[in-house]
Amino acid sequence: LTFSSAPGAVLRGRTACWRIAKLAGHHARSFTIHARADNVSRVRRIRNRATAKGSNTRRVAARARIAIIPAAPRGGGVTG
Amino acid sequence: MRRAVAIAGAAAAVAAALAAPAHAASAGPPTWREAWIARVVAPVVAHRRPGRGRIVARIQTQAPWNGGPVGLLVLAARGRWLKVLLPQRPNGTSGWIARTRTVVRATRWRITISLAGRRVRLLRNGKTMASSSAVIGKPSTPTPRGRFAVAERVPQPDPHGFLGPWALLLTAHSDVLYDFGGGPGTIAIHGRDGASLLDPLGSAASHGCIRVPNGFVRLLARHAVEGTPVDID
Repeated sequence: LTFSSAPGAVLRGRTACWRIAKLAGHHARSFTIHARADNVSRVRRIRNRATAKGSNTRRVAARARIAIIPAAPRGGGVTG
Repeated sequence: MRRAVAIAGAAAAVAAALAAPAHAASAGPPTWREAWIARVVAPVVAHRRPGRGRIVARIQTQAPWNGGPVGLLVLAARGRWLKVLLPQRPNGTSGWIARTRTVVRATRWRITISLAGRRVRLLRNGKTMASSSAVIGKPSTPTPRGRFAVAERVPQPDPHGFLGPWALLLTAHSDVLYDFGGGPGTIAIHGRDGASLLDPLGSAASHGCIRVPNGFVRLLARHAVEGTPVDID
């Protein structure tokens, strides 16, 4: 997967990071990533990971697995 | 109170497949034994100079022909900037991109092509691991010389077609063909099947591409990922 967009995030390699000053109790903030899957020659199973941490709370994380399915390859296009 | 939220945008499996983090900080020009590949993971602009100068290219994260990964050969590194070889005309075009939009890894693989010997070699750590005779460009449509890199590895929809099972598109372009086979005159290393078997290995008969046996091109496709250096002389 690669980033298509991650508004407001600081990108560093494969990590997008948002830093927020404060968040009231029982409130939520959402962050959006648009990702693109590379074309692959065979099925690849990968796992995304999200982590949230704060100075006064414990670190929490979530993971999700997805499978990247090959698309039909495009032939030709070279001098042969 | 200060709260930080970090979201890892890509899978551990993919990161592991590309990672060589212990070496990433020391990326630099290719040597005979080792080269560095910048895998583009977010759209990035390439400038003529680090962080400034004319825009040379706008690089997306998917390769233009088949949508595979974009891996660029690192030619130099300066702070948080990488000078990379770009897959565009004129041959040898390079630009500086932000390292933060890439994942840098090392490769010990390299391909060398001798036009005089009409031979392709696959090297690891500077040692020849495999080699094969090849068909190169004919005099009217010669294979260009220079330092290039693998731009895309494309499995062919018909493995028994003219290009065989795989085509490794290079950053090189023909100096005489600007539009051929539906593409912009891209030079590739590819297999042989169908009509391309009529030209024997060791001949100069192609339109610029390098044709090798199907088993050999499969080997190249397995080891020479996008960004692997290809030297043609």
